[in-house]
Parts: sequence; C-alpha cells; structure tokens
Amino acid sequence: MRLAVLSGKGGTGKTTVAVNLALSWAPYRKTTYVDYDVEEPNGFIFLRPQIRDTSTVFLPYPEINKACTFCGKCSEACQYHALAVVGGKVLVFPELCHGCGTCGIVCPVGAVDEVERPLGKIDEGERDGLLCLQGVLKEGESLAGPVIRGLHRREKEHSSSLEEIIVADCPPGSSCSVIHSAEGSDLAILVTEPTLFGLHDLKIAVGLMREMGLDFGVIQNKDDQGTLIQEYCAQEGITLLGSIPFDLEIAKIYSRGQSLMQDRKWNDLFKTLGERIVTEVKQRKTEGEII
Amino acid sequence: MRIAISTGGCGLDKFVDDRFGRCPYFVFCDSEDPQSTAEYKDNPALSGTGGAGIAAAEYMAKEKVEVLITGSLGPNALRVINGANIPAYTASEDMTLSEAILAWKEGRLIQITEAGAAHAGER
Ligand code: SF4
Ligand code: SF4
Repeated sequence: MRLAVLSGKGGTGKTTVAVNLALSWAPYRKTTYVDYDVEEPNGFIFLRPQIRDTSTVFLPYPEINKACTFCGKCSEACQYHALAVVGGKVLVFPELCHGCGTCGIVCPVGAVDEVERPLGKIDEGERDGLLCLQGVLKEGESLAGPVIRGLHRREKEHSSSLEEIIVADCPPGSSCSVIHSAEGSDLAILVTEPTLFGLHDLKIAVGLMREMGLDFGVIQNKDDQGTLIQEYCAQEGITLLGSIPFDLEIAKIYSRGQSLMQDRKWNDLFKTLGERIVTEVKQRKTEGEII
Repeated sequence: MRIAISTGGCGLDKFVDDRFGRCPYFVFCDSEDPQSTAEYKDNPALSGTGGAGIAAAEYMAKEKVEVLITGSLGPNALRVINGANIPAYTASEDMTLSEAILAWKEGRLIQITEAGAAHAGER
C-alpha cells in the first residue's frame, strides 16, 4: 500500500510523522520511505541511511547549430521564454527551459540539437531494513516536476503489494508537486496542528484531496487536548487516525538529530498509530470491494 | 531615434513603470517628435509562463527599438538587450514619459550596464 503524508504547509511535523511511521513498520513489513519534498528534503537528516546509489536526473534543453536562419519560430513557440532570437543570435536560457521539445519540432531547418543539463539527483539508501529514497533538486533550479517524476519511476521499481508499505513524504503546500507526489496513494495522511492556522491549512488540504478523489485521514500533531481539530473532523466526517501529544521531549530528541523511535514511549505510540493506519486502509479496501 | 519606455499608462504625462518585463504598456516614439509619433502597445510578455524579461527584451528588438528607457533590467533581460545591441537607460518612477525623454536627450539618464535583481519586476 502507498501512503502519502501531507501537510498544509511546512512545520507541522509532517516529516516527523512520515519518518517515524516508516521506522515503526520497517521491522515487520517491507517498507520504503520516499522523500518527495525535493526542494527541501530533510527526511534523510533523521533517518541517516547508508546511501548505496545516487543517480542524476537530467533535463534536455536546446542548443542551436549552424543551420539556423534566425527566423524566430522557436522563440515564438516557447511558452516559457527560454529562447530569444536577437541580433543574429539565438540566446538560450537553460534554467527556464522545461525540456518540452517544442522548439525542435517547429524549427524548419533542423537547427535545434538536444543537450542535457543535470537538474537534480535521486539517492537510494537503507537504514535498519528500511529502504530510503529521496529526490534533491539542484540549488538554483525551480523545476521540481522532472525530479519528482524520476523519483516516482524509481519508487515503482520497488513495486508494492498490499502488505508492503510505501511512505511518500510529500512537499508542503498545494502545488502541482504535491499532487504529483500524492497521486496513486491508497491513503493520504494529513498532518495538522491544533491551531487556527493549522485548521485553515487543513481545510485547504482536505479540499485538494477531495478534488483529487483521494482517500484521506488526519493525524493531529502537538495535540493539546483541545477540540478544534476533532470538531472539524467530526463535522466533515473525516477519520481522525490519531494524535501525537504535545510533548517537549519531542523537541529534545529532535534537536539531538535522533529519531523518536529510539525512545520507548514514542516507539509504542507510532507502532499503534501505524497499525491503526494499516487496518484503516485494508478496511476501506474491503468496504470498497463490497460496494 | 526610436525610443521605447515601460509605462503604467497611455499618455506622455503618465509615469515611467520601473518593471521592465511586467509593465502593462510600452510607449514607442521618435525622440525628435514624441507628441505626434507616440504609440502605446500592450506588453506581450505579460502572457506566458516566466521569462517575462526575456520576452519583453526580444519584443524591443522586433520593434526595432534604438533606445530603451526603463527602471532596471534583470540578468536575463539584460543579456537579450545586449544581444540586440539596444542601449538601455534607467529612469525613476516619478518621471513622466516626456520628462524621461527630455532627460535622456540632455544626457541625464544613466546607461544600464549591470543587471538588477532577477524577478524584481514580478512583484
Ligand atoms: S526556429 Fe530554427 S532556424 Fe528559426 S531561429 Fe529557431 S533555431 Fe533558428
Ligand atoms: S524545449 Fe520547450 S521549454 Fe525548452 S526552449 Fe524548447 S520550447 Fe522552450
């Protein structure tokens, strides 16, 4: 089963939840953690896996050869303005190029050659039996899509049955990157905080899930015993998968760069939460089959 | 000389817009007789995904502009403007179009040789 962990925006503890859930399953099930937050991946900081493979993600961009007549058709056709034909030259701006190939198609004289630039990389590692993948967008690049797609392909190589678990740690917010990293999941886990800001972001995330037609549930982080999130979930008929208490210890363990699983109390908490999620997914699957 | 200026409004009494790629309009005119030659055109770079400075700069070349007056140019726009051999000058937003043209004629505007911040015009 594929589980997407999401949050309205950064700082809700999304990575804490994703990493610790993955670690809690790893001893019992084949589990893969995938960090899709390619602009700011930080799961590996906590997991510290042994990296065993790194591959570069390339993106094609045009190089103009001598056949060019400076007709300007390529630059007219490029919707990203990555080309400019001026003063008897074609200027190429690789960092704006999306690699769509349109310029090569419209060029009447075959003057567009395709070259490649490195856009980012994909790391694969392992930690205590947990397979770890992350995508990293190169600094200064803004095109996350191709790295996310590459990561998706890599994830699929380790195909999952219902018994195996893939935890996709999705980027914050509600951009296309979020949609691409979450789609195809059996369940989306929305991590939220019991504040008005948290609730506001949760509502946006819920809207996105409904638009995508994705099954989802909520985990409340930093639970302060208040009823804000509970009431909202009850009202909307949303499953509250669990709560993680507000506890200063988390901050302490965190600041030592350790994962919470090394602590007995947290270990138990995430194990229970993990089993609850697995049961939830299986239940929804059978219900779906009956209907 | 054929001048182009980035502007927020249509009229020589309107002000210079210091956003080159993201200004709403450009005025094109002959520096010798702005009043009767002024033409106002929509900035075509506003449509499209990113790279507005590049598209606007390429537009200047297509329009056979000989002098450009604007606020500042980002690194990409400057590369295109340089590639097109169009001298660009910086004017401030509190100048009207006629004032900017006069200031350029009198040699009071400074030529842009260094790029301003990238994406500065996208605010
Ligand atoms: S379309 Fe081809 S020939 Fe025309 S300017 Fe572009 S590269 Fe040159
Ligand atoms: S490949 Fe696409 S985005 Fe890149 S320069 Fe060509 S048309 Fe533009």
